Amino acid sequence: MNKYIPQTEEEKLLKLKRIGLKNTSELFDGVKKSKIELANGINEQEVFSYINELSEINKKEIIFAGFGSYDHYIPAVVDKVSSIDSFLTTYTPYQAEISQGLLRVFFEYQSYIVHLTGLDVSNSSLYDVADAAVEACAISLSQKKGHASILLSGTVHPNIISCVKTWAQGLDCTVLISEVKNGKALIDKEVLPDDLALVLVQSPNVYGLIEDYTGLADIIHKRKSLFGIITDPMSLAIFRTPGEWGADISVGSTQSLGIPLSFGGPYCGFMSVKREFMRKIPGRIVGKTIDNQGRPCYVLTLQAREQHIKRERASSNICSNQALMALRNTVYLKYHGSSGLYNIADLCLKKSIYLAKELNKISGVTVPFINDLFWREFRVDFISKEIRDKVYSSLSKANICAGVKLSNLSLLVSVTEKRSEDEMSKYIDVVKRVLK
Amino acid sequence: MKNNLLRQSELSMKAFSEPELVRYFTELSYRVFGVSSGFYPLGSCTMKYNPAINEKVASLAGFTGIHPLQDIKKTQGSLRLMYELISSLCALTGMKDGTLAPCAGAQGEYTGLKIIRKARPERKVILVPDSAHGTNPASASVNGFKVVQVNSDLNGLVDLNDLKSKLNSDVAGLMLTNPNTLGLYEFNIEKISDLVHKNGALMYYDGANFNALIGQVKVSENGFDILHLNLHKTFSTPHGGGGPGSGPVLVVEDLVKYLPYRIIKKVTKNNKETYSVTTDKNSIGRISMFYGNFLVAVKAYAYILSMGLDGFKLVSETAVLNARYLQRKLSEKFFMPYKSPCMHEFVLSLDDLKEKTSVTALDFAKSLIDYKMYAPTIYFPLIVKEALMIEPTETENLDTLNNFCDLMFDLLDKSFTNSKELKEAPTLSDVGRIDEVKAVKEPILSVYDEGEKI
Repeated sequence: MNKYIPQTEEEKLLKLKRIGLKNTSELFDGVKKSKIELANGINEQEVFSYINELSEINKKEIIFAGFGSYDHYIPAVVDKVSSIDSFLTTYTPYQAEISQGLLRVFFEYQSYIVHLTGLDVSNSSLYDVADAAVEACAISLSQKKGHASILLSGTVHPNIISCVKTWAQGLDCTVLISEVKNGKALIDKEVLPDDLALVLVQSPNVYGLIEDYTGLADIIHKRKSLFGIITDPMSLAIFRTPGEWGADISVGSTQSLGIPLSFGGPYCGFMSVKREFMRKIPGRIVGKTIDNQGRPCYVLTLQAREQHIKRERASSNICSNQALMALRNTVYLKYHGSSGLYNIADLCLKKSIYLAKELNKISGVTVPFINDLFWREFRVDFISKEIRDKVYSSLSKANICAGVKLSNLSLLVSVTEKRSEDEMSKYIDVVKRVLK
Repeated sequence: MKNNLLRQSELSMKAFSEPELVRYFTELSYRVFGVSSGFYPLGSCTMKYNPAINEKVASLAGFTGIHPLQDIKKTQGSLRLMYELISSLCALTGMKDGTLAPCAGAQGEYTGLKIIRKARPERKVILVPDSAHGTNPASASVNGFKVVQVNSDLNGLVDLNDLKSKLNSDVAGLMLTNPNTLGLYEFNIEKISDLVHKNGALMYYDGANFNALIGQVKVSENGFDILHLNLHKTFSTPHGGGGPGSGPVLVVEDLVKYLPYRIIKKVTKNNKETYSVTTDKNSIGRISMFYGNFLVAVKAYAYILSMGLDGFKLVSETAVLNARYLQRKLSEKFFMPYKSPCMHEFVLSLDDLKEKTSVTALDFAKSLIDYKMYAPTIYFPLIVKEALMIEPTETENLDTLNNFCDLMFDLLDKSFTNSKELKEAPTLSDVGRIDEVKAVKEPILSVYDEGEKI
């Protein structure tokens, strides 16, 4: 018997008899079958050893790469909780009466996002930060009639910009990219188009820099446009929140909060908005209400926005989300609380400043924004592409992933709380040796 | 640091000790019903058992600890796995190449429609059957297409005459699920494809119902040009309470150049195989941050290796057999709006019962919950009134199927003798029927809406 298909030969025959068939091929009468070339199944031990072998072909390194994927420590309890079978194997909680535990988790997740971002309403997760940014653009477009423009800061992660451009193909919408000055967004109010629907900026931006949006919300709102900020929720333990900057929408990735690197996914996107946009937000939202006996309980709500009700008139096509990742975020935040999260964010700040300063001291190495405020990530410039590549490959030989190669001369380097002094010293030593 | 750049409001989140946390979440987990908890006949969702080995291999440090932008020489294991997974999916569907970038079925549809737009730039209409999943018209619409509905005929299949009347030079594609959401095989599929292709449009396959055909039919031979699969349905990766899923998109040769970032290639040099990533200049561009939900791909690949072609034949065969067995048994007392033998799922209607007893599909769903099972999908597809959509999958044994039928018959009897019990169900779950109107009218969407702190 196949281990995943509980059916004996007798049971099969019994079922067939009940439906008046002689054999299973009659189940497909009228269906034209194909010749398929695929190997037959192998046993569990063979499956394990083959896939384990693939995992061992990958090389684990000490990670100084970031660029949207950050190597933070994850408490073991996060894995423990997220592998509880009922959480793992349940569906979107349509039947709320037998999903209260999960709905409570999402309600808490939404509460954390609301608190961290300083906005009013959060959904219960989106696929990733790029998807969340695209959905923010879609909300802004729905506020406008006719052609609209969306302005993205030139300091938004380039993969997010690419995804927004892909989305805009075929829509009555132009995507504009702002200028960048000294590594930061330069939003020139003189050149904002009349049909502006959204200004979307990012802080910490793609270079890790904290941007100053003083006065920006007023300028944008005077144009009857929306103001969106892409951010990292962990950074909000320290830095001014999207709500405090006057943003209407905030999006980002929650990967920092208890989600492993995993070669880029699954991660999780969040979105929070001002209350006036509550009915515009895409995806699942959990609300608290009462049952028929007046007991407090939770349920998926405001579903009139969604595709299974509205079909082609839905505000978004999203159906599933990244629920299990939102559960991981919730466990992570409950474990650390405010001071735990602040301490981790602060270590990321201090350690990245430390490494940036040390690297900047080395002749032939420049950290261009060293005197600016950056968090967990910074750009390092070398005098030539050859030197940059030599640094990268020398570190690679020492099993250190030096960062992410940017333009010809630069590396984007990320330092999380997880990087030890030893690891940083080793990094510095190798760079010194190459530059000698 | 400039004070202006710092968080102004107090950060206030309570921390918990590990024993408190574990108790708390364990208690919550008791109030969640998964596939591991019991029967889950949720139509269209393919809630099959999720094998333990899938989780084990997806938690290997050689996958979880790998950064997506490490030097490609150091991530060859991940790339090879993705390459082999795509190759297997192509073998099963007859497609040429594909992408794992879409994080879910709906994002797969979004990607597929971007490809259709790029391949047919002048055309603005997507045809969608009236029985289609809600994501189909929604995905077409968010891509800027006009959605035109194709009606079903009396047998629940695509009405060929209606299709003909709606085909014109503005139609870019037809999105179709096969078997459709009534669980019926579109026996005219080749005629449909011919009509659509002769019109210069493309055929999109929504793979939500692929469990019925896996190992039997390569859908390329049905005439489909582009498709998405749901790894979290057909390929046994867990639903996780709503995600992460994975919605790979596969295409025929002519459309390969439009696939989104990045395409994985195998290069053989001096008898040594290496894997690289490329992008075609005709690509639709990027649709997600990195490589999609990679760990979900790992789980799906483990499943493919475990099952193989012989296993998949047994999957589709047993999925169809189980559904048809239930359909036959239940048709003795329940009204089946479409009489043809079903594939992996079927839809019954309680419209007549509602008229006689006022018991609704919702009442049935809530009553089943009291018997330690999940409810079928209700009120879908929209073309069936008081619909219950039932998909047992291949991973349920005969006892479970028989118990379900007995229970359905009991509830049917009770609808006449004691409808109050159904109307009041569930009574054994930790909460009863929920006031959804209040949830919408007075939204409380975080602890802050009720004046509390997290």
